[in-house]
Amino acid sequence: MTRPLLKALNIKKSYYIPHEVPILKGVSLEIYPGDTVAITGRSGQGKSTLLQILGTLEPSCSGTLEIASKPVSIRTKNTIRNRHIAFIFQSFHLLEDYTALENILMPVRIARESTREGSPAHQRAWMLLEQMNMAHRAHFQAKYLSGGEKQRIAIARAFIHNPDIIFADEPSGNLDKENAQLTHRLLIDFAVNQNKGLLVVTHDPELAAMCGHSYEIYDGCLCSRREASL
Amino acid sequence: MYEFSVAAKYLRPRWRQLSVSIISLISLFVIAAVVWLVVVFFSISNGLTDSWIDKLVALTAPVRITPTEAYFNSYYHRIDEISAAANFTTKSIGEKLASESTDPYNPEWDVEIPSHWLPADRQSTGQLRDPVKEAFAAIATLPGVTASDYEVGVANLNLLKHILRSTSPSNIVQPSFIGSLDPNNGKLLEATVSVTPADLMNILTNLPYDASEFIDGDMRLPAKASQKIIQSRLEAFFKAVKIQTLSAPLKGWQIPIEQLPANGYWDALLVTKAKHPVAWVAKDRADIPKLRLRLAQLGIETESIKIKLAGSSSVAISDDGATSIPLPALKLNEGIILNATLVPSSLATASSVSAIQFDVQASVQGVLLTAQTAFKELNIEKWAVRDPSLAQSFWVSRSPARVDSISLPSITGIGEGVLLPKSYRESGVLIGDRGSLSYYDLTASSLQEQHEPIFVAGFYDPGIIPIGGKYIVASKALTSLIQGFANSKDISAKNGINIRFANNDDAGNIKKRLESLFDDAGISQYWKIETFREYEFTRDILQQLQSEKRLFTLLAAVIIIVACSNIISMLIILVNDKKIEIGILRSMGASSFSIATIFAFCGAIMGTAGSLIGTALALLTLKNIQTLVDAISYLQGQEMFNPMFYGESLPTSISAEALIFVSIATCIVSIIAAIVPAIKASLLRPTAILRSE
Repeated sequence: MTRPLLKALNIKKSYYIPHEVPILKGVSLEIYPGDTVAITGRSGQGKSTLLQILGTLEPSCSGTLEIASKPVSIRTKNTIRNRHIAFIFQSFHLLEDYTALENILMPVRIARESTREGSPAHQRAWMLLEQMNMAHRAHFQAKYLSGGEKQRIAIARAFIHNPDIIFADEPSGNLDKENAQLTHRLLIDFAVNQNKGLLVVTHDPELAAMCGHSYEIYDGCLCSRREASL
Repeated sequence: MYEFSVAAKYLRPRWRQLSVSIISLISLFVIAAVVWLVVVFFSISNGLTDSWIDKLVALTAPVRITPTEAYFNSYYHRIDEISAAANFTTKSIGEKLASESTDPYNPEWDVEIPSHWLPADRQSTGQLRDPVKEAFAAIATLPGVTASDYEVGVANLNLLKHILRSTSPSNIVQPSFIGSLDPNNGKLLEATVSVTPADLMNILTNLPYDASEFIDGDMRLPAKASQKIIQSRLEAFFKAVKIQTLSAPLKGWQIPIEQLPANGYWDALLVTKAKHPVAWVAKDRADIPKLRLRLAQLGIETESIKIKLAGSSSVAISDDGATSIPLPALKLNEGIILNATLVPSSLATASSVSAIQFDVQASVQGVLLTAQTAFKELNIEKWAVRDPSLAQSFWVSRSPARVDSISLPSITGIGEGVLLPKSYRESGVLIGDRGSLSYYDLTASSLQEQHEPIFVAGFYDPGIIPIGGKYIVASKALTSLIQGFANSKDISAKNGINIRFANNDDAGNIKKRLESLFDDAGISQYWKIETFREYEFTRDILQQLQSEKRLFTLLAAVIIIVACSNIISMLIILVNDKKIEIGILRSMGASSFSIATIFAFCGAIMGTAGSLIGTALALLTLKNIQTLVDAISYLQGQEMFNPMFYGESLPTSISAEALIFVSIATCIVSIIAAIVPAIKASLLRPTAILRSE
């Protein structure tokens, strides 16, 4: 039996503002290779909070989280973020002063690996640029790119380390339809073809429908809306 | 090291983050300014201290050895008092060194040794220990170190200022210390003031006269020497010195009429309403309007005339050429430079300087003027030493035979040359001025004032030594003579050994080695060894310099901290500006330590850049310090630094210590300043930052 790429057990999260406001009341989730998971829900239900907890960006109040069979802790967090997971944001979050190529290579530099011309990382970055049809923008600073272009660079950056799971928070929220569809296609293909995981938080029913699993957050719990029967 | 490249990106000024850019530019500027200030200040204060110490050491020595009480009480020193062989007088260190026998006492001839004397310090062989000779022997074992004994006496300096230069000569009387000259002390020569044309003129004017005589304690006008002596002195002078050019004095130079050129025209300015008709001639026709203006400012009205040159039958015609007027006396304007050659035959008959003749030559308004004129009519403009070995008999100079040496002149019939502090020159004394050193000779029945004739052979810069204004350097023979009559009991400060070596910084080291050598020789009780920092008359001022330096170091540290604290606010704004980027980097796995490092680098880059800019500016400033000081002095309308203390040009010595101190301090303090913002940045939670959607 394959091991899950992500295993979350009984994740609870409350905010204190100043009274306790429970957001997540015990969420458990497992993502296996090839799984594409969509999480929907109304605003304020804790979709993004869940994504950030699962993506190690935010600590949970209780519960356990394992990514790529590694328990998430302060010590493992940075390696997991760098090696095993990647994020796609609604507002792209590229480093504006760096070129497209430099943005893609940034995770490699953080891992302190060579990004010199001819290095494997550099070659992979070019391959990704070509795959995204962005080779002609390689040396543009991120701030001069359009929204669709930025998101494609962000996706290339997410792919650079060939992560186990990609977390996408409203990946097409700021894009026109054409670019949104392209983005969806790239993300779903990545998970399905490479046998990786994808966790999407979205309002977009079209995207949710494309995912193998779809959950809705309601009252701090994760309810399955549809279990894909593939 | 991506942290560094991120930090460098953050610091690049951008319109988008104008406030950060402005604040970082200001912090950079402030740091640079502080570094500049500190480096410039330390370099100048270093330079001053160095030059002061150089002068101090030039006048004394980097290390001095003086006899202790034990020496004066010793049998070795006192035995001369009762020994016939020693002429019943105690000896100075120099005399002890030169004396043949260590123990001149002869029990058969001399009186019995008083019982209260300390027993003689004898070696195991029974021979009397000789502290002077052994000290010199010990010093001689150190390589690169030379020793010479010195003496300091006290005498009255009587100086006749302007005796022949002015109608009212003034007499200076100044009780002074007379220090002996160490001929090996080439450094003293570096502290002397150079010889000026006015000095040469003064030497020449005084040369025909012998030493001043004293009658009833009054200095009288000196008598002229015999013609033969005058001639030999003048010949020696002109062998030593070559006068190259002469210039017309302030009152102009009247061209002898019979020596006017034979052809050509001159434009001249005729002084109207003059008792004796006079016309001024400028060197170039273009200078005539300027000359007219200058004369008009003096209230002299002039009109243009032309001179038709034809030797002694030259004629003057009015400017329009219509009327001819009687030929006026023609004066060359002030400052016109004439090539000059001495007429050697004129020396044979010269009984005073005015009789010396020069062939002069100049092109005036395109016409070559050649004339022979008396030397006195013109000023010396350019001169050169023809023969250094002869020049040293007129003023203080280097012995031509040895590089690192100094010698004082002595002229038969005139006296010995002495070196005065610079302050005398500022009060108008010139090289060649005459005077005497007077001291009291205590005889059995009376107190007699003795005069030793001297002349001024040069001036030295005493720097900041408190006794500098009263310290006269004279030959060793003269000093010994004067000191010999001084009260021998109080000899301690007046006799000793100067130890010289190349580098003043070795002083402490050499003192230690001497001490151990003296210990080995068993003579350490007789000698006190001091470095220049310990001399009674310099200790205070050197310590003050030292403590001022420490104080300023403290001050510098504080202002560096203040300057670098600017970095804190700049970085806090930067952290706020870069919150999202921090979140992005964190989401890609950058550790919080990496984030902190980025901002620490920002601080370090600012500090380093600031100190580099400041250092560069400081080096530039120090290179052009004189121009700067002159400009400021000009703006202030007064001398910014008193040349009396600071010398003709502000000395600077770029202090490596200060440079290292400032750059390291700036970098460390700016990194420390960056710590707070860096920690703040590293504690930011990525979610808090990314939750912008």
